[in-house]
Amino acid sequence: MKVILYMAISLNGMIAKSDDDTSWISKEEWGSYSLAVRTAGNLIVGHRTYNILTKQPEFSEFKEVKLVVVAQEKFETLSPNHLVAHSPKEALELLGDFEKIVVAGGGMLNASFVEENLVDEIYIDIEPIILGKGIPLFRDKNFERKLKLLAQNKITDNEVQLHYEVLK
Amino acid sequence: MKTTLYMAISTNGVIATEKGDEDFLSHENWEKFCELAREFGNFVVGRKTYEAVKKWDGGYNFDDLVGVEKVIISQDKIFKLNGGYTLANSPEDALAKLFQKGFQKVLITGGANINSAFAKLNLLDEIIFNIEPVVVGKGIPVFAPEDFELKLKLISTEKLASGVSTLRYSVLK
Repeated sequence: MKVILYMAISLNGMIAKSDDDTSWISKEEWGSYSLAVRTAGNLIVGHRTYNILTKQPEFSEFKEVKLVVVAQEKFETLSPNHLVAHSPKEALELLGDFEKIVVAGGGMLNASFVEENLVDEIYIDIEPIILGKGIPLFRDKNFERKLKLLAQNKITDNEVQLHYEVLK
Repeated sequence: MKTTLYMAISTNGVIATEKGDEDFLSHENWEKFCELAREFGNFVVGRKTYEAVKKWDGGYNFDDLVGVEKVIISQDKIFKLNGGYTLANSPEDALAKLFQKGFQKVLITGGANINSAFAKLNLLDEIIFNIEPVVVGKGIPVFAPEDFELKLKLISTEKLASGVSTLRYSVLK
């Protein structure tokens, strides 16, 4: 089982504006992310990201995706195909049959997965923007993990994708 | 005047740990800074960065950049600097002082507050980030939280031997 963290960020590491706005993320980036999720067949997100994601029209692309929402409290999902887990480890257990698992936000969930050493690879898509304020890629956890750059590609003329292995 | 911001950051945009350590950044980033400082003939940093670098050992010293104009921004107008450094009290003042000395290009290189001060005043023209292959959970962000947004255009990308990615952008105005 390989766990992949996949996120789009501003050049300074923000995943959304303070008001959750992600409209600065391009269609091409969404396409790359969507393909990764559909190929894996699954997706783990936090409850706040779930509420944002499921409101996007593009979310219809994820009909066949097994989605796990990590929430501390009781949480009602919109579809029987969307499961609820109460911790990163429990989320992975629910997806135990998959070869690749995609984790994709928000900041607190990302930080929990990395802090608990559960992430094997990271894909970062860098949008050509700097946001003075926003929601950071990792929130509220203290850790430092060395990475190995596996690939550096361009999604478009203006967007760079960095692909890393997390060294353990 | 054209300004370039150069910074080494973790993959998630952190420039130092909460305690101020930068041990996660590799030596190559310092070399890149020295190369740029010599090319520009100058650099501008904030007072905190100036004081932090003074405490470093292992051969990291701004003094070694002989012949490079070094401007330190501090709001303390009587802040005592070592010889060879020029005091400025704002981003505009730093640029004016270098302009008077005949410079057309200025290198800016931290810290978080200075970066945001220049960004908020829309005084950044180019951004070069060296992205270190590391994630740091909590730390000092490359831009101190302030209300601003910069739209960028990617100019070039480079992959260094150590796994550092150098990304160069121009700021759209």
